[in-house]
Formats: sequence, C-alpha cells, structure tokens
Amino acid sequence: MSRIDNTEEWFKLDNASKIYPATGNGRWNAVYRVCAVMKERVDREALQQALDVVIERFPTYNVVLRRGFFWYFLQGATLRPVVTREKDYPCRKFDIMNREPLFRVMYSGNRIMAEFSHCISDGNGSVNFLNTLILKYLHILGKKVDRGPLLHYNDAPKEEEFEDSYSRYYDPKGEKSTLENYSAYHLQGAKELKGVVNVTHGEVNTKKLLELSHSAGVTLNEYLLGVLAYVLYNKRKYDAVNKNSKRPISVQYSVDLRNYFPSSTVRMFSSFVNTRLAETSRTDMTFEEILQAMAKDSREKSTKENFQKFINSNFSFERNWLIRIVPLSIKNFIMKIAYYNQADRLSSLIITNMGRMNTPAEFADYIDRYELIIGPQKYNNSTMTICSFNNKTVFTFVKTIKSSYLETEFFRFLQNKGVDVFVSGNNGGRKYVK
Amino acid sequence: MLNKCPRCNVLVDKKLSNCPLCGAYIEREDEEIDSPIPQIDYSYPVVDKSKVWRDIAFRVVLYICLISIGICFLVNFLAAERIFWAYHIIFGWVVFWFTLGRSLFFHLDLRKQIFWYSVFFAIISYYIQFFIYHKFVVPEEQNWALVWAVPAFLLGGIATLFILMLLRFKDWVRYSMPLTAMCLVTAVPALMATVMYKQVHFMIFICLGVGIITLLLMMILGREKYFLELKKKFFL
Repeated sequence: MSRIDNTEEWFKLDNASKIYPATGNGRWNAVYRVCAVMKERVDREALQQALDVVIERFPTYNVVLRRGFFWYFLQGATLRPVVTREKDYPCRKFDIMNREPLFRVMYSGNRIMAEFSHCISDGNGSVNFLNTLILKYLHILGKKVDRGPLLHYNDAPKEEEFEDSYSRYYDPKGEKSTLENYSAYHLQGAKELKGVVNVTHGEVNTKKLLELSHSAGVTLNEYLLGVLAYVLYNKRKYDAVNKNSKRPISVQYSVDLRNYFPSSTVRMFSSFVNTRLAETSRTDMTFEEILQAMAKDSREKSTKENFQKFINSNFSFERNWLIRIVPLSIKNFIMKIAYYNQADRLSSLIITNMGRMNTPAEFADYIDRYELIIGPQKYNNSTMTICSFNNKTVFTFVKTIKSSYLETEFFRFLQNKGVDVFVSGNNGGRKYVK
Repeated sequence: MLNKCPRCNVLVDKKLSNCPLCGAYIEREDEEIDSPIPQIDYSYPVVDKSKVWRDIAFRVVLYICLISIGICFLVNFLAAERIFWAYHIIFGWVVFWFTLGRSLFFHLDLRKQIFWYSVFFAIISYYIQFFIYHKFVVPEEQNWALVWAVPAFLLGGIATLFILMLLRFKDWVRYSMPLTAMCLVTAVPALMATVMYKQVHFMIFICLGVGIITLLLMMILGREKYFLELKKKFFL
C-alpha cells in the first residue's frame, strides 16, 4: 500500500452519523455493501486503476474515524485504498482502533463490491461512488460508455458535496418530532455464530412486480411493506404467547431526504419511517387489510413536514450546549441507550429500498444486476434491501439467526402471486450434504 | 438453467443440490452448467485466537473484580458492623480499570498506555502513603508521594513520550495530544502543594516547569499542525 499525507483534511460527522460509532459492538457495526454483478469476470488491475482515479473525486470517503474529547471526527487516511479479493462474510467491522479507512473496495468473480460505514455516507452517496467507479473501470477496459447522470471522475469535488445537509435545513424555531414509546414485535430464533452473516438474494422481474402492486392500488414500496407485515403477522400468530407476541408489528424503512430537500451531498442525508400495524389482538386479518393499514400509515408519516421535524429534533440535540460539553465517553453511554429506545426497539424489521438505479443506458450491456446488503443490526436480527436495475429487482435478506422463515414466506408469497423468484444465497456458510 | 424448489416453488441455480431458503433437496442433472450469477461461497469466519483469549481474560478479571468487591463488603460488614476497609478494594479496582485495565483489554495504543501508566503509578504512590499514615494531608517532610514519587512518574511519562516523538518524528503529531495531556497533569501536584503547604517543593517545581516548556515547544515548533490537532480533538 502506498502512503499519502491526507491527515490535515478532516470533517465533523454528519448529524445522523454521530450515533453509529457510539453504538457499535461485536455484532453490529453500521456497515453496508453495494455490489454490481458484472457480465464478465472482474479485472483487478483495471479496477485498481479506476479506484486510484475515482477516490480523488470523493475525498470524504478515504477517511478514518478518530476520537475527540467531545465528538468523533473523520480525518484523511494515510494509506491509498487498495482493491482486495473478497474473503470474508459481508459487512465485516472496520478496525477503527488501527485507523482502517471507513470504506473498502473488493472483487470476487464477476462482482465488484464497495463496503461503507454509515459514518461517511448513505445508500445514495455510495451508489454514486460505485457507479462512477464502474464507469471509469469500463473506460479503462476500452468500452464506450457515456457518463449519463453520473458525476465525472475527472471533475474536482464540489463544496456542496461535502456539506452536512442536516445543518443546512435545520430550523431552530420549527416543530420537533415527538419520541415514540412502544416496543415492536421481534423475530426470535437461534443465533448464528458471531461473525456469520446469512445472506439470501431473490431476483424478480420488475415489471411483473410493479403490475402486482398497481393492481392492489398502492405503490411498490407500500406493497412490499404490506407483504412483510403480513408475513410477520402470520409468524406472530403462531408464536408462543408472551410479551413479544403481543407487540405491534413495525417495519422501518429509510428515506432519502434528497427527494424532499434538494442537496448534492455525497454524505449522509437520510431519515427513516416506522410503519406500524397497531392491531395486536385480531388473528383473522387478511392480506388486503394489512396492506391498506400499512399503506395508510406510510403515507401519513412520509411527508416533508414530518421529515423537517425529524431534522429539527436531531439537530437540536446536537446544538444543545449541555450535550456538547459532555465528554465523549459519557455521550457514548447515553447514545447507546437513546439508540435502543428510539431505533431498534421500535421496529420488527428494517428495509432499505434504493429504487431504480440511475445509470447510463450502456451499463445494461456490462452489468447483470445490483445487490445491496445492510450489515446485521444490533437488536433486529433481520434486514432487507431492494434495488432494481434493467428490469431486475433484487431483494436481499440479511440475518443473524438460523431460521429462514421471513425470506421463505416472502418469496413464496410473491411466487404464489405469479412472480417468479430466482433465489441464491450463502446459507450462513453451511453446505448441504447430498 | 434453473431448477424449481419442490417446497417453495422458487427458482434456484442448477448447480445447487438444496434450496437456499428451505433446504429441500432438489433433483438435478449431473452435467455442470455455467451460471451467469456467481455463487456466494463463504467459509466460517476466521477467528482471531488472541482476541478470544483477551475476551476470556477480560471476563475472568471482571468477575474476580465484582466477586471480590462483594466478598470484601460482606466480610467487612460482618466483622466490624461498619464498612471501612472495603472502600480501599473498590478504589483499587476503579483505578485499575481506568488505567491498566483499559490498556490491557481495550486496545489502547502505546502513547495512551504511557500516559495512563504514569497516572496509575502516581495515584498508587499517593494511595500507599495514605494507607501508611491514614491521613490525606501530612506534613511536607513526610509527604514523599506528592513531593517525590508523583513528579518522578509524571516526568518519566513526559520523557518517554518526548523521546518516542523524536524517534518517530514524521508522525510527531500523533504524540502531541498525549504529551499535552501529560504536561497539563503536572499542574495537579503543584496545585495540591500550594493548597496544602502554601509553597511548592523544588521537585514539583521542576516537574511543572518541564511540562510548561514541553507544551510551549510544541506550540512554537509545531505551530499550525499542533493547533489543528487541538482543534480536531476539542471542537464542540
């Protein structure tokens, strides 16, 4: 690895990113992966050359996490990033103590993968990076690909790409969101060994999926929320009667705030919505009832006003002098409790829908599909991501329990509705003996 | 190209013998067919054995700490009907976890270890003196901990960090913050001596002087880099 002196560049963490270094542990580390499955085997040398160029375009990514007295901050890394071959489970923790850069680029067979810590970016920013990397990679291989909507890798980075958009849209006099106080139903099951990540991909035809959701009179996102809630509802019906089985089902999904508040930042700028099926006593709800309940709750909560309140609440905590002067060790302890109370505890399942990949048209000749993997969560043992490209929608389930109930029932539901699902995965590393 | 799972009805790659969802066995033909979708094949994670031993050692020491505190409190109370010597055990364990314990179990790097060990020995020496005389404030001629031991350990820490900084001069900025903290800590024995005796012994004076000079050297010679590092560490 060659050394570079980047240490004078430093950035404060975004408002939403501050919680992640404080709350990580052995099982959860706020790392996610974006992956492109190419149609040909990946050329490592060409990919390394592409990375050397593209990383200059995204200077906020080649950073390490450092600990200040009051807050964590990001500082330029001293090593140039290197493309490595994938040899471990997805979303392995970054070695913060040894100042490992908070992103890594890997390859394996036909796959080009980039893993990021949530401290430096969200899904939208990292997909931009991956697509720009692939664009340069294809150019190095001699392919004629137009830039399309992507950033130009030879441009100098713009100031607005580094901004903390939460501070830009913070309204100190605006309303703040209220804290929610309930515990959601959680899937139970035997845990996998520490470090093992169970990944299952399901690929479907996007057109058929859209027809299915439109025939039900809802958007695709709302339809998927309904299906997931229905699967969890059926599971909860047959669970042993205890505190957990009497809790409401809640599916949390992340929202790209750039759709509501214009921003060019490549750093974190997202929020989340907890869509709740409040009904806990009935056991005879139909799929249509659940779908309509979830769609209604989602529509009521996904408004610009609610997101503005979210920004105001979060940012006002950060700006409060009493919180600012508390040493970081004590803040970490408080943030762990706050995270448990207001994040994992409130959702049964976390999903991220990246939607349709915004790429040049020529990418379809070289890329088969995209995959997005969110690393295992601290208390929620299952997550799901969705991304679409070239008429293929890929669902990815990640879990740290052995039971495959959730994805099995989800895919069976779609299959029974006439949407063929092609499934692949790693079975948690287990190989079945014939 | 694809087979169907008899239980789930989902499509799976022809190379697989079992469904990745439900594990059901899938009849397949013997010939190998190339799939455009590469199969993910992970082996179990490589376990770092030193980490495992460190985890075990941490748990063992933690349990010993909690059990010993509990037993000491119980024995002290039962024997004397009031708690007096058990507090020493708690104090000892608290100092241990804040200093040695952190560097042994929590990956502290060398610079921070030097700082914490210096502080640890300084506190322990004062505590030993307190244990001997059963008084926090003793006459200056008896106060060997504050007058000699504490300044000696702090000076040792400053000297070690300074020498390491010179030896690894390209990376000197990484040593500047622990060294700054060490220099600031030298004010503590000076303040204590001023409050207790209204004067400062020459050893404490030397310790404070070395701390101030080292701090000034870093500020003058380090300039923008030093102040940038301070800004990064202490921004609000």
